[in-house]
Amino acid sequence: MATPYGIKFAVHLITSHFGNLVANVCENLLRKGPLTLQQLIRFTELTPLQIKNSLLILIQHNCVQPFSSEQIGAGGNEVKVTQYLVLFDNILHRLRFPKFLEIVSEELDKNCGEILEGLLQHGRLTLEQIYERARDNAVQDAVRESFQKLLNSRFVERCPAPEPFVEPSTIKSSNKRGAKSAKLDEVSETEEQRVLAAAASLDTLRFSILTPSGTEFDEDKKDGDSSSSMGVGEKRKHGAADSDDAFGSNENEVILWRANFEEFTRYLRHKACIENVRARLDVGAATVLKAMLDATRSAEKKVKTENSVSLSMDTIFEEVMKSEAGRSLTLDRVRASLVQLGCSSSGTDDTYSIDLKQIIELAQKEEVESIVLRRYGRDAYRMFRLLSKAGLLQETDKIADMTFVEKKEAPKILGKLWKDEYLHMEVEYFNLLIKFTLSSNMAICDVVDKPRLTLSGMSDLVLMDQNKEIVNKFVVDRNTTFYLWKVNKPILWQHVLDEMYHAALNLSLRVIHELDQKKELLTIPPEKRTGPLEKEFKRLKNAKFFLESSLMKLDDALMLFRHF
Amino acid sequence: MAYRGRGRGRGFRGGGGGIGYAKQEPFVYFPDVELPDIKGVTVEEMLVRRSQKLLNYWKASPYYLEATISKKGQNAEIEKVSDRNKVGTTIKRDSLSQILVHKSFPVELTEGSKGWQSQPGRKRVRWNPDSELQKLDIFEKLEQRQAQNGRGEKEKKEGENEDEDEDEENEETEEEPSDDDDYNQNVDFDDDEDDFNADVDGEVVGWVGAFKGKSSSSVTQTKANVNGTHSIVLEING
Repeated sequence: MATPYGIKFAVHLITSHFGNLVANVCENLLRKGPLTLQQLIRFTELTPLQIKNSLLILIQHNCVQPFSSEQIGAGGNEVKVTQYLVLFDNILHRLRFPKFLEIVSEELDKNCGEILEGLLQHGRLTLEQIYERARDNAVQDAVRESFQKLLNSRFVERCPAPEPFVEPSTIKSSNKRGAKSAKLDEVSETEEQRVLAAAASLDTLRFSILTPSGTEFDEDKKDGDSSSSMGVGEKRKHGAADSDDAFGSNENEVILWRANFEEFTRYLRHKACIENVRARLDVGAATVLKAMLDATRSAEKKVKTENSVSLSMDTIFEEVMKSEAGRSLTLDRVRASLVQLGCSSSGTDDTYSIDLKQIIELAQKEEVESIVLRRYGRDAYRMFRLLSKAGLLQETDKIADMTFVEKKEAPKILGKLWKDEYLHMEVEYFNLLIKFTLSSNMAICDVVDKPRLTLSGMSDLVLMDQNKEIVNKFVVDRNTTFYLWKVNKPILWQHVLDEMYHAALNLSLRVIHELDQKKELLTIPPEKRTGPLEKEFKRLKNAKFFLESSLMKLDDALMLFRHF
Repeated sequence: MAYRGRGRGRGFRGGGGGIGYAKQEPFVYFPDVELPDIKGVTVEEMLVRRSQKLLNYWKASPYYLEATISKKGQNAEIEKVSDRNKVGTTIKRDSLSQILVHKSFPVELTEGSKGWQSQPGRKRVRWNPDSELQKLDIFEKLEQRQAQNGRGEKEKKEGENEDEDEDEENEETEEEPSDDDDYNQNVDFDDDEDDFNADVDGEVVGWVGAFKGKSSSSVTQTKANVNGTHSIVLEING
């Protein structure tokens, strides 16, 4: 689900990478959902050619997925139309391309990094294009080998189908607005999932160079010559299709490859878990976790998997021993770490799996709490922590008591948090509640639809939770107004994410602004930059590095809230 | 750095009897905020450098679409040959169609577009973004073509690219491939014809300005293939 500043930031990224025209098309797709070419012509007011080129670029760079579906045409009959679905997450991934490159350079090697760079620069490439791009054609074998390495680690995958057919959804999402807008988001999210599912390559083929017929295309075998004669001209004979298939089998099939964002996200998710454990527990636990996750990464089904794949104690120990840091750990130490990580052996078999979801949630909580601490102070931090732990509505005075905050201060701070949308407050409810009448032995409450709050007895106000357990009891009179506070996590997480997009946008704009201000300074050749000019240049360079490094760090937090 | 005082106010909004209601506030681009300690920021040099490298690449690639406003038409100066080598800010971009694999896109996006018909002589994926040439005036381009005839399709592709980039008119109406053999022999000329088809608003990039300075003339073009060389005859109708 794209938040308001998320959209702005995404459009900003596209503008700086591909220009205003492409960004215009992209923005319309982000704000209005999947559109047809005709609709885009109407909304963007660009020429058809400009729109087509923009779409080509967006598709090429995996930011848009076309799909065909049937709609009721003008004549009342069903017409096949092509719609374009924008992929918000893939746009945001562009911000972290440097991180992906770093991962591959560290995990694999420089050549793999080169190939990945090409894939990121162009969005998608055929194998032939990858060979062409390599500096020295004579080492095509080496390129092929590096490419295979990337495939094996799943950092590279086949591109999805260019135009899958998707059944129109039964819920007519386009006409409903307003109260149903929350549902609209839900619908759009499932629609996106359906389109992506329809487009995705078969699991067996996704990371395989093999063609569906099972034959592997080997250019050397085909020619019989050395690869240097495998020049551009050779391929031309076989038509325009850049077919990687076995010669003559299926010239129409063109296999395009692209970076597999899912795998990089998974890698970064693991890294975040490991770092969190390292900071929260100790190095030993972090080493054990790293060993487990490295071993099972390829077995994970989806990125946001809740638990890591189960491993037996022996396997875990084996994997730990493989790493340098783990060599010094004993079996007992490993066992202790597993306990620290909160997992005990499941059932009769000696297998362990880590609750990754819990680690991520903890990390997210820490992040939000640190924001509250920084912005609103220590008292607010304590109150916020209390509320987020409790999960229930809590009353002001009670909060103040439990966190040792002055009773006068508490409402002000809580009010501030609520105003900035960090807390959820229920007060209207209690304004209505004041209407209740105390008469003889009966207390009548006007608003009784909330099971949480009921009245019992004469002048007792009883706070109950969903299970009708009494949480709190107050003595009231008709002038009492209560304020109840709560941390609404799902809403708050979205809000924090939106604030982060806003911050990221601000950072980016600031960098551009700073460089723009000193445009002339940048055009002066180094030799001519003397004295104060050189000083200013250095300051500018520092500013850029600091701002962009901050952006990279902020991106870690963005991923924590969005992708992990 | 504080940028206070930049662009004071946005004009007085006092209309409709609301004088004094709207408080005029100075517009500040980046208001001062309390920033954390800079020592806490680890500089990720490699990441920043990689990021800049990618950004530079995209800006020079065919993927960066610019809306070229054909102000050239109003500029009566004829570009000198010596200007061609001046390092300018405009970057010569290759055509999208040379890089993209047309079968991997929906048909409606690639149909009718000249560059997609056949992809012989596809350009290498790696190009040199450092070659920053100013956009050639079309007239000069034709001269070039005549002089360097036979160098092959590479030149033509560049010309085609320029046409695609510069074209704002409804080129697609003229994109039906002609059955005439003459036209088929040279893909680019078809594009030129599209450019010069002034059915829309008569604005022809570069040409009219160079010749007449009129903004509304229709230009038609005929061509002949004589012994493999290309010659162009232009009729300018006022």
